[in-house]
Amino acid sequence: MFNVLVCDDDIAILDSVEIYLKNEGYRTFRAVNGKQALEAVEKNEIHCIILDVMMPEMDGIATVLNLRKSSNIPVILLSAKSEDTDKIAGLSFGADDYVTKPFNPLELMARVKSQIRRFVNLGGIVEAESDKDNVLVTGGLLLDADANTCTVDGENVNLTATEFGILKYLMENMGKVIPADKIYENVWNEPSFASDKTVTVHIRRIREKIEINPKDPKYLKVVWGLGYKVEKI
Amino acid sequence: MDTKSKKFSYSITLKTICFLLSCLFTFIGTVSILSLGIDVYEKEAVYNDAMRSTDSKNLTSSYSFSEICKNHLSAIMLKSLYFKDGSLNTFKKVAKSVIDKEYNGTLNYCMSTDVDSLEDKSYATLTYLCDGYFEYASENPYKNSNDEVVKVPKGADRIYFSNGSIYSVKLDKKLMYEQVVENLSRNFYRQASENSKTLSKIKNLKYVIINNTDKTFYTNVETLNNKSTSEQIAEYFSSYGWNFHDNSSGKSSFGPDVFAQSSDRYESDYSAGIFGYYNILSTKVLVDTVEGAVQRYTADQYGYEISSADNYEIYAAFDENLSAEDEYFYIQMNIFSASRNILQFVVLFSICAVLVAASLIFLTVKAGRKEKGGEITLLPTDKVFSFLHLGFNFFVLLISYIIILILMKNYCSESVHIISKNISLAFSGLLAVVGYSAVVEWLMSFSRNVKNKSFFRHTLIGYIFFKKEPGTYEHKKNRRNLNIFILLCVGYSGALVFFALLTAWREMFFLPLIFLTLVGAAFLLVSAYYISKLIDHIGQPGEKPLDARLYPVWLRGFADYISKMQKNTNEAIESAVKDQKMKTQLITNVSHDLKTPLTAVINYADLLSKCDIDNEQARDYIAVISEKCDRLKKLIEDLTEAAKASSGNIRANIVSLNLNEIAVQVAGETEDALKAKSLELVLNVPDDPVFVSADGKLTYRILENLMSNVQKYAMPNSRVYLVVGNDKSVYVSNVSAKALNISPEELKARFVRGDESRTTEGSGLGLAIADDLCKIQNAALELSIDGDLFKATVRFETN
Repeated sequence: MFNVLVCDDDIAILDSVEIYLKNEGYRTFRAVNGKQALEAVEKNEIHCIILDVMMPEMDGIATVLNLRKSSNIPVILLSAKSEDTDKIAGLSFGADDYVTKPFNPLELMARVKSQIRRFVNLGGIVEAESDKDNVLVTGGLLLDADANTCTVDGENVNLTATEFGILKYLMENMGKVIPADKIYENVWNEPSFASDKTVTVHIRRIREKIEINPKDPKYLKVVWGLGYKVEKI
Repeated sequence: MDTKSKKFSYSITLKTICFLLSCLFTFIGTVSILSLGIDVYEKEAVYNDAMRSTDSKNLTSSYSFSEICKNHLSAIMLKSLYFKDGSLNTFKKVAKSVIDKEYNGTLNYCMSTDVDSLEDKSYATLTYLCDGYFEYASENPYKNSNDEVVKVPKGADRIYFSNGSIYSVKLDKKLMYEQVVENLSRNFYRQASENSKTLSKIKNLKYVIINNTDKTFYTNVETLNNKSTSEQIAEYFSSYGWNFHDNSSGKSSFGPDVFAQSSDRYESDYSAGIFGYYNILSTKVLVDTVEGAVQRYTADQYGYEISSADNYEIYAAFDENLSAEDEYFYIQMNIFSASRNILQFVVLFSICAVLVAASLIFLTVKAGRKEKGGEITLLPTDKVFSFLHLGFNFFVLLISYIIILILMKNYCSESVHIISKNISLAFSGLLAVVGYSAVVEWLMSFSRNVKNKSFFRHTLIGYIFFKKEPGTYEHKKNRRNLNIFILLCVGYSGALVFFALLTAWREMFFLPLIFLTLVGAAFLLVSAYYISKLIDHIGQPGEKPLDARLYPVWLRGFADYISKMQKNTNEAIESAVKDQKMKTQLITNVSHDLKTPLTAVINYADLLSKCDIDNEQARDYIAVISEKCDRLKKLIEDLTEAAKASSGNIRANIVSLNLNEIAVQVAGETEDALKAKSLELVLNVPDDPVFVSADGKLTYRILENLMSNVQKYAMPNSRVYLVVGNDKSVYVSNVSAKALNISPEELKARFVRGDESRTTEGSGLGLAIADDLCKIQNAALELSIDGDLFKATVRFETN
């Protein structure tokens, strides 16, 4: 039983998120502003915080800043601000994830689950396994080339051989932008055609499997007009 | 009714009627006064003709008239004294008696004897006989060698003189005598008949001549005869305004002083013009002593005195009333009728003049207004320079006047008339109407301008200095300064030309010419310097502000303008930037405020759908709520995006992109979605990579929007083409499911959708966003519709 703190000044949203969390089996704590949230964190053992950005008295950003002085509890920022700049600011101030309103409740739950998993159970494992050869890790994504397995936040992901090959190739060149034809040549060991969209289709499918929100990928990113890359986290 | 009539008095109809009537009056007035002039001229001609026929002498002087009277009277006396029956025989008798009386016995002798029978063949006698009939050259009588006078042979017709000179003489004494008498009598007769003829022309000269010797009575007064007493006669004559009586004693009964005075008056009255002619006749013309006149007349005429002059008595008077119908009567009649016409014409003319003047005043007062105190309506002609207008109208007036003058002059002084009298008059009348119209036109225009307070403005000076310019006071001032400047330039050019011409005439004028040229050059140089400074200022805004006071007078206004324009532009840019920021802020805030409640709605709708609800309908309702919530979410996102894109708040991160790559990526991303809609995607890229400078993310969003349009609107089971061209362009083409009755430009507008019913899921913002995003990264979105074929081309690096 994990404890999740939900902090939002909008009671209706607060209630609905609580319901979702309870349905998922979490124990919930609630706060309507940053100060209450900090108090709740002090008084209780909290495993994840869902934090609204725009709140009275103390907003989400300030709360994260204060929280990070003493704690590394995962924080998911929840905001109606959908600008890239807002996301970047929120993440760089110490938040672990950023979800824009209006959100898909299931997605939010998946993210909560992911954060708690990483925070409570699997952080150590990933770190431990990353030392092994042929194990490629970035964030919660782990690829074991020897075992031909791929896990995201500890959960196994079923990839086809081609998908596995593409992801492996990208993770081997982590952080680098690889054009589709180069991926093709390396994975298929054949020269590619300019208009061949095999690679891109595969990559979309990989994204759908490993990403919580494939349209807003965390690991496997599209660099438009140039290629693909796996972000090093 | 009252207001209606007031309005009517300003109506165009009334004005037109008034104008037409006044034209008619002008015509009538002109024709009447001109025909009066012609009439008077014609009467004068008749009168002159009459005067000329009365006597060869000019009758226009008092002297000649009194001369005529005297002559007439003396002729009457001649007649009365000598020729009682007026036949030629009587004249012969008188002539014989005159000759007899003059030469006494000598002539009688001469008459009764032949030269041959002359006892006294003296030289004196011969001389006398020959006198007047023969040449008599020799001064000395002819004597023969014996010193005796040579005898004239009997019947000889030659006289031989002893000194050798021979004179041929036809000595027919009877014939000679007859000839003398004949000549004399013919002279008498001719004179008398001429005088009688003349006398018949002046029947108003009343006279009574009584020959006291034989009591013969001559008169043209019917009531008097030789039985009348001298009292009756005197009474008759004294009833006339002027008269004269002289008897043989030489005593004037009625006094010649009266005549003398009258004569003087006549002379002064003549100058009174056509009415003066009457005075010629009514004046009591002096006939100075008729007796003397007769005596002088006969003596002058015949060389001898009328010894019996003391035997007559004369009464004479002139009938002022011209009761008898003689020459003078007719002249007077003419003049009377003329004067009667004058009155008619003058009255007609005066009436016309008054009416025309009244219409002029009416038209002038009512000009320009449609009702009392109403708006002034200016006609285009009113805006013509006033001096040009006045000049033109005056010219028209002058030309009409001159043509009338020429016509009239031709009629009066030339014997050959260009056109007939009536046509002349009518034509002159029309010309007068033309002239009158010019006057009316100008007066009405003047009146309108004065009422509109725009008269001065339409003068040349007013035009230059007070021309109504739209715009601010400042602008007007500058405009006026510019006008003055133009005037100065014109003046300067004029001066240059003037001095250039002077230089051509006299070389010494080259100095002022050079001076003027240098002044102009200096002016140009200064202007050029400051204008270049101004251009620098315009080209480098943001430098220190332009100070108009540093510029010369003639450029100050201009500089001021530019400085103000720069200031305004800067302000406009500042406020635009500020507005943009506020707009973006607003969009962000609004979308935030929309999203928060929407989040709650979506969450609860989702929760509700998970509730265990038995009611089928309720589950349907919840499904609808969820669906519409998603739609609303998408709309809000698109709206935010569109607002951001159109406000230019998105910054493009331009890098070198491979269009082939992005096309393949987009195809990969959207293929499944297309397949779900039974659409087949055909990707066509060139073999060589096509690199363009663009923002990858924005480009993807553009293509994504296009592809999402395709998903929404393409005909199911058709092919969709995604093609990259070597010309740095990429296009998407598909067959539309529904007919596209809309222009490509309209499609780009916000909230416009291909289907009018708007039932599909789109927001109508996709193409608008794509278009804006294209603009941000220097690309262009071109849409083309060919029937059902829809094609959207993104062209990169358009400039």
